[in-house]
Amino acid sequence: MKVKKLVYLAIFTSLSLILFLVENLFPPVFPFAPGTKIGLSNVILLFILIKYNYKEALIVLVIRCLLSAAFTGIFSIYYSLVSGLISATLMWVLYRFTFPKIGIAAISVSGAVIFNIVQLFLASILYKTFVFLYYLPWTVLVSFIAGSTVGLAIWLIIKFLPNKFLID
Amino acid sequence: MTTRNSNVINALGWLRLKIMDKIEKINNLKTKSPFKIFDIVIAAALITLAVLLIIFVPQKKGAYVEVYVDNKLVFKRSLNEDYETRISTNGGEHYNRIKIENGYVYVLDADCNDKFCINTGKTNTKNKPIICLPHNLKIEVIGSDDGDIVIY
Repeated sequence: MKVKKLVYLAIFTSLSLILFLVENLFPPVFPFAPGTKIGLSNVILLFILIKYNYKEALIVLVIRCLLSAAFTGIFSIYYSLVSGLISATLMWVLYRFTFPKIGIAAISVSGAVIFNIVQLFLASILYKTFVFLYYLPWTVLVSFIAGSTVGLAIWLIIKFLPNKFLID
Repeated sequence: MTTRNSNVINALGWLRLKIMDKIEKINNLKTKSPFKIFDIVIAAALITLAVLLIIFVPQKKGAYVEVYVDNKLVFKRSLNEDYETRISTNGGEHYNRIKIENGYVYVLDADCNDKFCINTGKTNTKNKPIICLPHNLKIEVIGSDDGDIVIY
């Protein structure tokens, strides 16, 4: 059983890395809010939160961030790791404690919003300026669209995958 | 399906919040809608946040443009006259070409790997900088009230 889980987590890590890289190939979807994207690898993160638990999601997230640095440069670790950890924690708390009241789409939206806001604040700290406030409303709007997309995707995945793939 | 967690009432018991276990949650996802009634809370919070930000973040036009590389000022010029320059970054290894045109400043061309600075587009607003992460470059628009034009 342990080997099976290890293999699954390895597959999920490579899947989320592939989604991350494929997304980087395309031009930005939302040109009015620079730096934002749909965040397709969030689908994998939510799937692991549902299939396994918080610990496994963190393992996959951290390994994915470290590996993606090989493709996009060392700067991306600073951004994606910190904001990824915070947004994964928020999504886990919401899913673990409030799930039947708050739907999966809203959980994904809150994760996306926190991810992008933390990223803007990290950029503000790095550049010693809070001028990034200008982009915040657009970032919230984009996160709303992106988070709903990811939330509906994960809902469809769970709905149509047979139970033997979902229960560990 | 009765499971070990199904009767646990947590600290938010007044909301009648029942913590489901993993299988119950998956079954809920499979059979019910992805939207739930308390999503309204999150949507309302987000809309409030966005509206507050739009109201309270000032969007004033600036008069001067400042370019910082590694947090040091390397270039400052008025937005009123058209100008084009090439700024070397990373100790001369890379460059960003910056253009001032019709009162706006934008990055014309750069050899960074993400082209984030070019995609940001034009700016003439104080709170809207252009950054280039790989080159640690920041283009900021400032008001007219601080000093003379300096050309480095």
